[in-house]
This record gives sequence, C-alpha cells and structure tokens, in this order.
Amino acid sequence: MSNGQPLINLENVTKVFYTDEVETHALSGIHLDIKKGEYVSIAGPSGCGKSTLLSIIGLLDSPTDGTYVLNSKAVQGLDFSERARIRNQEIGFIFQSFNLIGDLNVYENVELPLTYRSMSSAERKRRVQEALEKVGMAHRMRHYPSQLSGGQQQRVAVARALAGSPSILLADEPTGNLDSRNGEAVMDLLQQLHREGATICMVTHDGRFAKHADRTVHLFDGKVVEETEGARQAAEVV
Amino acid sequence: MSTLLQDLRYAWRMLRKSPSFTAIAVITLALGIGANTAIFSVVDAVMLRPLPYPQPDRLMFVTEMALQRDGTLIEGPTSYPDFFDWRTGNHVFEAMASYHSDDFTLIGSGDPIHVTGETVSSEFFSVLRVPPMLGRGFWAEEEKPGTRVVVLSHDLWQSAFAGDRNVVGRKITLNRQSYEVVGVMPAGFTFLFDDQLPKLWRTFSPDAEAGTQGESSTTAERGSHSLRVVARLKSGVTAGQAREEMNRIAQALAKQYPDTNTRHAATAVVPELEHLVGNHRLALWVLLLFVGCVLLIACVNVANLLLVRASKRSREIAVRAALGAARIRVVRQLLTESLLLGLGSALISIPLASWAIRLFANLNAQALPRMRYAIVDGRVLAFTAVIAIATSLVFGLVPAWRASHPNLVQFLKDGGRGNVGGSHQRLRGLLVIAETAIGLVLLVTAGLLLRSFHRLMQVDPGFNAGNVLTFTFDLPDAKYNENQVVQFYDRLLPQLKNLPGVTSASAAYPLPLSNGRLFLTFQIEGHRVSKANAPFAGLRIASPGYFHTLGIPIISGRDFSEGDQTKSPLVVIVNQAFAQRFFPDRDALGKRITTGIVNADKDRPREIVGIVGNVKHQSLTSEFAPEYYLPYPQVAGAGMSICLKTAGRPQSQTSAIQKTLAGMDPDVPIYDVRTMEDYVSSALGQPRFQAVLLQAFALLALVLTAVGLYGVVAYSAVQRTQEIGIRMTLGATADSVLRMILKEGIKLAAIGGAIGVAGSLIITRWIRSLLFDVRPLDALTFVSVIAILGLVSLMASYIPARRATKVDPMAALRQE
Repeated sequence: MSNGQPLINLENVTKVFYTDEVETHALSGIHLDIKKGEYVSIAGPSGCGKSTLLSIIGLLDSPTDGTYVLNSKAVQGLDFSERARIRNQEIGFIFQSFNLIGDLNVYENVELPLTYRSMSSAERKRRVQEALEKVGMAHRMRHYPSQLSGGQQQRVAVARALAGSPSILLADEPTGNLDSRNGEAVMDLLQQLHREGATICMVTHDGRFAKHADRTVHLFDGKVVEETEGARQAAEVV
Repeated sequence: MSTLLQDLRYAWRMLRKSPSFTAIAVITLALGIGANTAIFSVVDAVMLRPLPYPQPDRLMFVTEMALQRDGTLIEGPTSYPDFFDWRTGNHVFEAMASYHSDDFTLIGSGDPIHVTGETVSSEFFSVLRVPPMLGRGFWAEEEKPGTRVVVLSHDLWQSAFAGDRNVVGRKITLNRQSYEVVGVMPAGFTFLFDDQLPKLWRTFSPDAEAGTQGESSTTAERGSHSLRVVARLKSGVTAGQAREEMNRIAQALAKQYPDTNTRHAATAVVPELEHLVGNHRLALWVLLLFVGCVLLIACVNVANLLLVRASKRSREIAVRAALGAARIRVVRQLLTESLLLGLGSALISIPLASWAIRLFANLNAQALPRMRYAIVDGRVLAFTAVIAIATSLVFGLVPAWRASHPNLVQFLKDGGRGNVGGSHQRLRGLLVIAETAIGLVLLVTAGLLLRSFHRLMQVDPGFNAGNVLTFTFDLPDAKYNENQVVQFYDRLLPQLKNLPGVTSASAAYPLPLSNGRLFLTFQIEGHRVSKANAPFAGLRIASPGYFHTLGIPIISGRDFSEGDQTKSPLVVIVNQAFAQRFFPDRDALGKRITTGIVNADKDRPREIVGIVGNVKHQSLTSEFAPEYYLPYPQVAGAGMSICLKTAGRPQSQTSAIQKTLAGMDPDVPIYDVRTMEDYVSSALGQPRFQAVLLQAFALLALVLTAVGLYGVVAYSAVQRTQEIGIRMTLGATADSVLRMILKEGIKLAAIGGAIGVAGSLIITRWIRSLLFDVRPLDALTFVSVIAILGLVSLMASYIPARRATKVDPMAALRQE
C-alpha cells in the first residue's frame, strides 16, 4: 500500500530521562523511516522504549537528541503549542484505554479534535458522520462512552483519530484492553483503513497482531535490533 | 463563537455533573462576593457617589478653625457677622450660603406636627444650583427682619399639603407665626450635610430680629457661633486658593475684632463630600479591605477545590492535549467553568447582599452618613459583575494553567491513571498557608476592634441611662415669652412626676450624647481677663432634680432648687473637670463666675453652689470636659428636653406624656421620644457597626480557612492511602499515622500563622485611630487569635487524620 513517499524520518534519535542523579537512556540512536501508506508495528518487551518512541513520533514528547522530520518538516525542536497544532492536524491517536471523555457523547468525542481547528460546524458534522460511518458507529452517536462495550469504545476512538484526516494513525496497544473477539475486530478495522490508504504505526507486544503490519520494528533496550517484513512475519507466526 | 458556546455547554454539563463541588464552590464564592457587594454598596453610597447637585466637586464646606488652649485647631461653626464678612470680602466663591438646623411646629394641616428645617441665607439654593420645582428660591431682601418666607421639601408638600400645586403664595403657620410659601423643592432633593433631612427652609430673617428684652439680634453677635457655611468655587479657582483667601479674611477679622475673633484667625475650606465622609473613610476602607480578604480566602478555597478537580480530570485534559488542544484552549475551557461558577455565585450573592444591607441599616443606619442610600443598583451590580469575573480569574487561572500542561508521556504510559503530581499538592499547601495568614490578620483586626468596642461599652458615661425616657417640644416665641416658658416647665414637670410609674422628672439642654453643643465664655471673679482670653466651657441648662434623674452624683454642695428663680441670687453648678481646671488649688464651691448668657442679669456674678460628677457629653471616647450648669429660670426662654425616670419600661409612658402635654397646649407636639439608653447606643453606633461586621466576616474567614485546611489534609491523606497501608503493614501504629497526618496540617497552619502574625504587626498599625483604649499590638488579642486559629487548625486536621488511621492495610495495598 505504501506509495514510497517518506512521511516520517527519525535520525539518530535519543531520549534520556533524568531523575535525581540517574540518567536513563530510553532510546539510543534510533533510525526509523515510515512511508506514506505504510503499516508499521513496533514491538519489543516491556520497558524497551516502545511507548517513548511512539510519544516522540506522536509529538507528545521531544527527543533529547537527533532529528525528526514529519511530512518534510523538522519537528524535533517545536514548542508545546506548535506541537499541539501539528498533533491536531497530522496525527490521529488510538490508545489502549480508549481515552474517550466520559462527559461527552460519541458525536462530541469524535468532534473534539476538530473543535481545535478553525472549521465550520457544518464541516465538522460532515466529517464526524463520515468517520463514525466508517467504523460502523454512526447509529450510536448520541450515546455516552459508558453505554458502549469496550470494542465499540475503541471503534469510536478510531473514528476520532480518523475524523481529522491525519497523515498517520498512531495506535498504542489498541487491543490491550479488549477481549480477543473485539481485538480482532479492531485489528480488522485498522487493516481495512490501511487498505484504504491510511498510514499506521502501532505499538504492540502481541505477535498475532503485529503480523497485520507491513513491517515490524523490534526494539530492545532502546535500540532497533531488527526489522521484519510482512511476509516473513506471517511465516514466523504460522 | 460556536466553540465558545461548546465550551459553555460543556462547562455547564460538568458543573451539573458534580453538584456537591458546584454547590460548595458557589456557596463559598457567593458568601465572599455577597459580603463585598454589600460593603461596596455602603462605600459607594457614603464615599464614592457624588453629592446630588450640579458640579458637586465645586461645593466647599467653609468653617472656622477655633484655637484650643493646647494650641490645636478644631473645626467649629461661625457667627453671622463673620459670615457676612466672608460673603462680601471673598473673590473666590461665586456664591456662599449659611445654614443651621431648626425645629418647627407646623399648624394648619391637621394635627400640629413637628418638622425639622434649616434656617439659611438667601443664596442657599443657588449655591447648590437646584431651583425649586414650584415657585422660587429666596431673594436677598428676604434676609431682613420681619420677613417670613419658606420653601417646602417635596415630602412635606406631599404629606402635609397633599401635593397642592397652588400652595405657592399660601400662608402657613410655623411656630405660631405666619410664613408665606414661596417654593417647593423637587422630589429627591435632599440636603445631606446634617443628621436629619430638613423638611423646609426659611431665611435667617428671624435671627436678624432683636430680642424682646432689647438684646441684640443673633445676626449681630460676633461671638455667637452657630452657622455652617457652604460655598461654590468660582470657575478656575482651586480649594487651596480659596483656603488662602479665607485665611486672609479671618486674620483681618481677628485683628479688627480681637475680643471675639482672636481664637478664630484660621479657616478650613474642604470639599463638601470630604467634610461629610472624611472621618469615616478609614473605617470604610478597612471594611472593604477586610471583605476583600474574605473573598480572597474564598477564592483560595475554590482554587484548592479546582486543583483537586483538575487532578481528577487530568486524563480528560491529557486526551484533549493529545488530540491537539493548544494550552490556551484547555485554559479557556477550564476558565469557562470558573466563569460560570463566578457568575452563578454573583447571582446568588445579590439577594444575600440586599439582605445584608437591610441588616446594616438595622444595626444602625445613622452610623455612617448617607448610609441610608446604600442599595443594590446598577453601579453595585456592575461592581458585582466585575468582581465575579475577577474572582473567576483569581481562583480559576492557576488551577487551569497548571492543569493545561499535563505530562503526556506519563499519560500515554499509564492511561492517565493516578498521575497526580506532587506539585499540585505543594501548590495546595501554599494556598492554605496563604489563607491561614490572611485569616489570622483578619482575626487579629477583628479581635482588636472587638476589644476596642467592649472597652467602649464599659466606659462610664457619668450618668445612669437605665429607665430614662426623654423627649423634646418647642414652645413658639410668638405665643410664649421668656417668663411663660419658665412657667410652662414649672407646671409641666410636677404633672409628669405625678404620672404613675414615673419616679423622677426633670429637664435639661443639651442632653448627654445628643450632639447638642453649647459653649460659652465666662469670667472668674477676681481673675478677670480680656474677652479674647476669656475661658470657656460647655454650658448646660437644667432643672432641679436633673442630676438625680440621670444618676449624676453631686460631689459637694447642692442641686438646683425651686428657690433658684429668675429674681433670686444667680447660681451655677460645675462639674469636677471644671473645678479641677479653673480652681486647681482651691475649693470651687462658693466661688463666683460671670457668664455671658443672654438675660437681663448677664453681668451679675453667679455663685458655684454645687460640684457634680463628670458626664460624657460629646462622645464616649472623648475626655471629660469642663462644664457648667445653669438653672433654667435664670436663662431667658431656654427650651429643654424632658427626662423621666420610670419604674417600668420607659416607652410605655409615651401616650401619658402626650396627653399631659396636650392638656397644657394642644398645639405643642413632642418629638425625639427616645430613651437615654438609645442615646448611649447611638454613640456606640459606628464602633458597633464595625465590630459586628468585622466579627461576622472574621468568623466567615475562620470557617473558610478551616475548610481549606481540612480539604488539603483530607485529600493528602487519601492520596497517601497506599503509603499508609505500607507503613501499617510494616508496623506503624494508629497513633503514629495520626501524628503523621496531623503534623502535615499543623505545619501548614503554623507557617501561615507565623506569616499572619508578621503581617498583623504591620497592618494593625494602620487601624490605630479606630481603636479605643487598646494598643494595636495588644498581646491578649494576638494570643487569643493564635490559640483560636491553632485549635481550629488542629480540629480541621484531626478529622481526616483520624480517618486515615482506619485504613485497612490489605485494601490499601491492593489499591493501584
């Protein structure tokens, strides 16, 4: 599905956390390219730096060192508000724990990222409906998260990520809080979105789901230790 | 715009979803905003609102400054001749008018009624620039003897003349004399410079007429100081320039008339509003500052609540930020909620404030000038709106700012669970320290003023006000000559004494603490000095039995007797302060003085036949001043107030008194029917007003501070549940857990208290002038306040600490 154009380029990215007098190297010399339309999964054991890498890719955090180019623009040194603007327009998040706002109904949750843009309410409405229809949740738009199952909540979260037409969807263990049936359904949904052209970067420790990706980047101790292509993964899983 | 509406909708939904939080925050803020609104309405009515006349800033109060024996200058009324010289000699005022209050009996519109009025010079209305709505003001020639013209207030025109538009030109009877009505003032016109609102105005023509026994007219008496003067500055002239010119004139008069004016060689020219409210400015600012601090404490409490709430909402805020909400958008969302809270509180505070204003009026409407005009009007509502918005920013901004920058990485890692930063708790601790410090300053201030008020209440006024009823009436000159006035009292007092339940009846003028001022110079036999240097003291006129009625002790000598009549030897009774001041080395009894009192025998010496106890006449806070009493038959035509000592409730005698008076003269209405206790109570009016309000607000501040401390300690204890569980698993006893949590609360209170003590040491110096017989650094007040605050802090910390000891270690350890 990749069209070969680079979307994300990380060069020698390092992340060091300082607590009291202890330095923790969460990421060391990460090189990573993600092309438009590509489906990449990031895998590795707990504490290997998967989530740190995802937060840097998602502009939730900045690297200590190295460069990060998103859509041909260097973004590693942006301030908080500029990062917020780019997050809002370029990145769609799907979280393990859904992170829907309980006091907003489905429609409002999906609309939320659009309210942070200068967009007419008619346009927002059109996009929200389209996104909800895409994930099959349009009939529940007046419901509140507490009235939905886990799988339905995650589908709403996917719709919220999609509504802003981001350049990339970042999914952090999207099936972690779901049973296997709902997990499969969400993975099918991501697969379908990928087929329709979406770029996806997913963190998972579940090999069954990593196989859905075109490519898996394996992390260990903050370093990329291996990259496996889709066909090989499938073979390994089988 | 649509996102703003969304913010509003969401804010409304969030507040509705947390009714307990919303209710506590709204009530806390409403109390603070309500208190501020109420006090601001008083400050606005008393100090800020301009006087209700065109170009009010040009209106000046012009007064003589009388030189005292100790070299100080005190403001005092002026005399007619001085006023005339001021009026013609100045080039700084476009017009100048004199006024003094008078009492009138109006006959001819039903029952005789007593009305208060002003005797004014002809320019009075033109100085104020308010023309009558009907008819005209006064003409200059109407100041001359023999003229009787009157201008009615709108109130009197409505109540006594049914709003008859043909009243102008009509003759009415005032004090048995016929006056022509020449004008009616518009509704709402008030002359605010005196305690009582006048119902009519007349020219000083009657004062310009000579006495029936050939005495010179009051307008010719340069030594008779009874006038107040209001003047309007010419355009381009400053108050300072006017002051210079008036001082020049006063100095020239002192040279020209040394006998009467040596002590009056200076004047004061102050804006009328300043003259009216200047003495109350500090008290009002203190009150406003005080309620401002109470509101600040309320804000701190709500900010604390919001910080807790923000902690609980960190997940929601992190989601918003992760989805691209800029910091300012998150702040705006949270501030929208604060604003809704603030405005909701403001709405609730308005009826609270209206209720409080009514309460203030009941406390004592006369405690402050113009306080009767305190209402919740457009200006006050605007203030409330501004304060609500400002308050929302104060309590909302810090929590919103802190919450708007969540740790997104942490959030991504743990899904937003339990990631309450320690910095929030630190900030909440700082807020509690701040409110404890402010609370302590407020408590110390209130404590000092309360102690001051109690000291004031314990002041011995020199008389026993219990069960004494007083009232006043006027005997019109046209009907009663000087002898007939004496005869009237001679006949009245025995009748009153014989009323059932009356144990004693007497008369005097002026009554203690009634604001009546009468000073007169005298000469001591054998020590005569020049007129300019003649000693002076407070003059009182009294009937026999007055000292008994009021329980004023006769130290030596005797009381006045029935034998002290017009033609009998002239006598005088002096108080102890008089005896000590003017006869320091010898017994005053039997000595003789000559008073300048107007009667046929004014130059005959009077023998001091008695020395009585000192009485607080001017105010409870003033020192005892030298005073001398004259028997009423020996003072020509003196009008007095009656004092009745009763066995039961004094007020129950009112109808019997009216009946007795009506039996003697049905055209003489009584007025100012008040108990002596009421006079004493009025003298305590402003201090009581202040003490009661500050006490109430300090109590509110104490409660809010305690709630704030409780909130912080309780929340901290909940946050530490797991830690407490571990400690208890490892062997910590309930007592050690209790001490650990208590220590946290007490530490915050102690730091806040120490800062508060330091602040109080500085701030209480500013209120020194409001204190009576209490030092700003009064140790008892400081120690009491620290003890109270310490106890309350201990209680506020003990409750959550005690709860923390009940933690089930296993349950706590299972908690994530």
